[in-house]
Amino acid sequence: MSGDQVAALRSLIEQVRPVTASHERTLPVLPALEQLLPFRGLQRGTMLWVGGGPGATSLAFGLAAGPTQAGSWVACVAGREFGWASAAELGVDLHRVAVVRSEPADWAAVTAALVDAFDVVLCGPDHQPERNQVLRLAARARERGSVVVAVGGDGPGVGRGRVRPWPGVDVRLDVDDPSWDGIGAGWGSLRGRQVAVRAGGRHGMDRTRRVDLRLPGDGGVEPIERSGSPGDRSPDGPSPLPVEDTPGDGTDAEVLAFRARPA
Amino acid sequence: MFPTGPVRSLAVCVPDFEAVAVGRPASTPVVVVHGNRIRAVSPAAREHGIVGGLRRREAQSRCPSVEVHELDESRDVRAFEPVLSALEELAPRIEVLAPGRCVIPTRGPSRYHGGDRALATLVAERVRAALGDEFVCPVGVGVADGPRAAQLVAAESVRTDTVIVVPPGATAAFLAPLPVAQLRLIVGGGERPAARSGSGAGSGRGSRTGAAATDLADLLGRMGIRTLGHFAALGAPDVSARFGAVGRDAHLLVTGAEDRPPDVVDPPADLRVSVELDPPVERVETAAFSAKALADELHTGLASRGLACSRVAVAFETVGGDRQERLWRHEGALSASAMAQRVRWQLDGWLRSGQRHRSVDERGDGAIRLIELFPDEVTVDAGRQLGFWGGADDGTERALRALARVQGLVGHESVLVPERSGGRGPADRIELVVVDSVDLTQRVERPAAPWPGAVPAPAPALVWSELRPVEVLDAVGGGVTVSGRGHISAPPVRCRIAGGAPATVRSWAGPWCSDERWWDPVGHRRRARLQVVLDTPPGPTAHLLSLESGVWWLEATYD
Repeated sequence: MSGDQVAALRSLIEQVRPVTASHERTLPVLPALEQLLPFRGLQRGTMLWVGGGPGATSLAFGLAAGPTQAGSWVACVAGREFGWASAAELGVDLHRVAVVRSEPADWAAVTAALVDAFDVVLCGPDHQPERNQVLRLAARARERGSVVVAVGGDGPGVGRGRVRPWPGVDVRLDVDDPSWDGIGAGWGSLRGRQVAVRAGGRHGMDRTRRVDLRLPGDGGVEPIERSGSPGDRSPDGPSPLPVEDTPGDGTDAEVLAFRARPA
Repeated sequence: MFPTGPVRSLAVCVPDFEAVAVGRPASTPVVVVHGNRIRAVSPAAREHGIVGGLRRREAQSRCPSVEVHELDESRDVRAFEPVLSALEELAPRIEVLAPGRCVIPTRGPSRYHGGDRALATLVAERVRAALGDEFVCPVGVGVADGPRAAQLVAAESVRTDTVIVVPPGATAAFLAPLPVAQLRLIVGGGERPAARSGSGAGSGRGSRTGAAATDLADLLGRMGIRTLGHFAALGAPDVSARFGAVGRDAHLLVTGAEDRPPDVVDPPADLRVSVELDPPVERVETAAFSAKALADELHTGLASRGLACSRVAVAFETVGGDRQERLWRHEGALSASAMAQRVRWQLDGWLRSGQRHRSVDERGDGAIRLIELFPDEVTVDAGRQLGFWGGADDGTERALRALARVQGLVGHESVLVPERSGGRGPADRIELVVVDSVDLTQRVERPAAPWPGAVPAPAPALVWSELRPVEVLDAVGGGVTVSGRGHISAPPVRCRIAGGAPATVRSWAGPWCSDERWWDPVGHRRRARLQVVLDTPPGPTAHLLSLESGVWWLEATYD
């Protein structure tokens, strides 16, 4: 696709953009997680990828906690092994959660039905969707104004297959550098975990930011104040993550073309 | 502008019309469920002790042979449509409340047909004839001062199986011996309490006021006010002060002074909204889509003037020039989605019943060309009080509907909701239960109980459904065990999960021993749990291991 066409599409996007500013349509998140996200909340109609090392599942629960406390419903698919007791401790109101167990073949139909009605749809790591399934889900979520949170990551090193990051996500969160406290050689018990979350993406998330959290902390998700401004990219941090990591030329234009298609 | 005093009205009431509309023989017990609660019961099912509001499973246990049908509003509307068209031949103005219930102002029709009783008898005959042999059910017809009083009389007429005509001015005396619970039928929209979990898109508001009416009836009963006559004997100012607008409304009704809603105002003429459908529409779904936008427009227009609509007129015009106009009445106020629902009901009845074949010919003249909505009776919008203790909000309604759809895709057993239960293991503390067994609009939280021997918080974020064996080794490569007294044989140094690469134990804690159900030879389980933090390549990972029958298993992971 040539540069002219991309420019034409961009202008088309400007024309069809809704009048409501997108940051006005956000779902609230826990205060500790606000810094991670553009417009300090889960922007309706977007898709998030939560990955990285151990802690991804907890972070996904933390993201779902704010909306449930504000009265939104959360649906969960392909998360057979999620520990809901942990979700409750991280602040998820379990009275606003529905869990769907589906065969991989039904995944697309089930998620499509769920984004129609649920504010947040949590997609667990049991199923690796095809690229076109993800893009279709993203389009549907954008149209319906719900938030899709995909959970993956390297897994906890127990031989479970690694879930590849989803293509075309708006925000990508990676959990890193976990360290547990409260436990020693035969004494204490697991109490809290300090992690670093790196957030990248597009639309206001072009620069990777790093936020340190206690996940879980004593009262759910706790922020950790770092010396220096926490919003800045840490100088020794790794390079920004690529958001669109599926190979292919003209990926950006492809996504733009996808966005410009009328709903 | 309006005549003062009660409007003498005739009400038709077919109780449990949803069950009637299924169209099964009278001898078959039938129930209609919505949101896992019984919504309507056929007379045969009632004989088995099934009443509205039960859970599906309870009803099935009372009568195993009962036929269970899901609520289908368009089915109800299609079944009621012949009744309405039969009544339209008797009276020009029919106000429909819901499938199975409508009200006719009697002033003109009674004079034409020779009095209230003649009209009522004629109506009862026509309704029975229109329902025909297919739908066998009791029909109640009552005439009284005021539309809502007439509905109460009609409900009474169902019980006595005769047409009841209350003479003018005698309404209060007639209502006096009725039990106070009858108020549930009419005050605030007539949504029955069983409908609390919602009746589709439109009932959000009605069900809330319906709940208020139920609460009022309950409260009066607890205060020892058993009949409507006792309630009428209370002073109006006292009732107003104690029960607010709902109570005042009900009190006016039972004292026979039922009026139009006291704050009725003239409908502003310019609020009529219409949409031309080009090309004309033959399908209900397509037309209903346009109707939704139209209802939103009307509602916005009303809201900008601080008005709410309690009676809306819906009119269609076909390509062939036929016009159908119908009044939809609601005792509360119609929200935008409730209006759209009424339009849909009317469309359903019009497009799918046999009636349209009168005008349809090969040229497709029956397609709908124009939809028009106008508020017929508007009141000052008193605002809406949201439920203080929760209740079914719009989000819950939407979620319920989506879950019902997903159940169709993956089966009933695969749609679950987490419920707190008790236990020591991470998997026991929250139980996933089938959504049908829980009333999502009224969740109850079980109080947390202490579980000695449980692993302290935080809980692991991943609880494995398939168990993986783990080798736990001490410094010299021997297996680590836990004695019967809960002592660990040696500090764990290395772990191998499911035959993977061995990992060094960075730190560990435990063991937490539990001896569960020792009195039960089958369910007896002895376990010891251990938390370990392992040095794995990307970063330390924490796991919960459990030892049972001499083998260590990976139970959960702190992800």
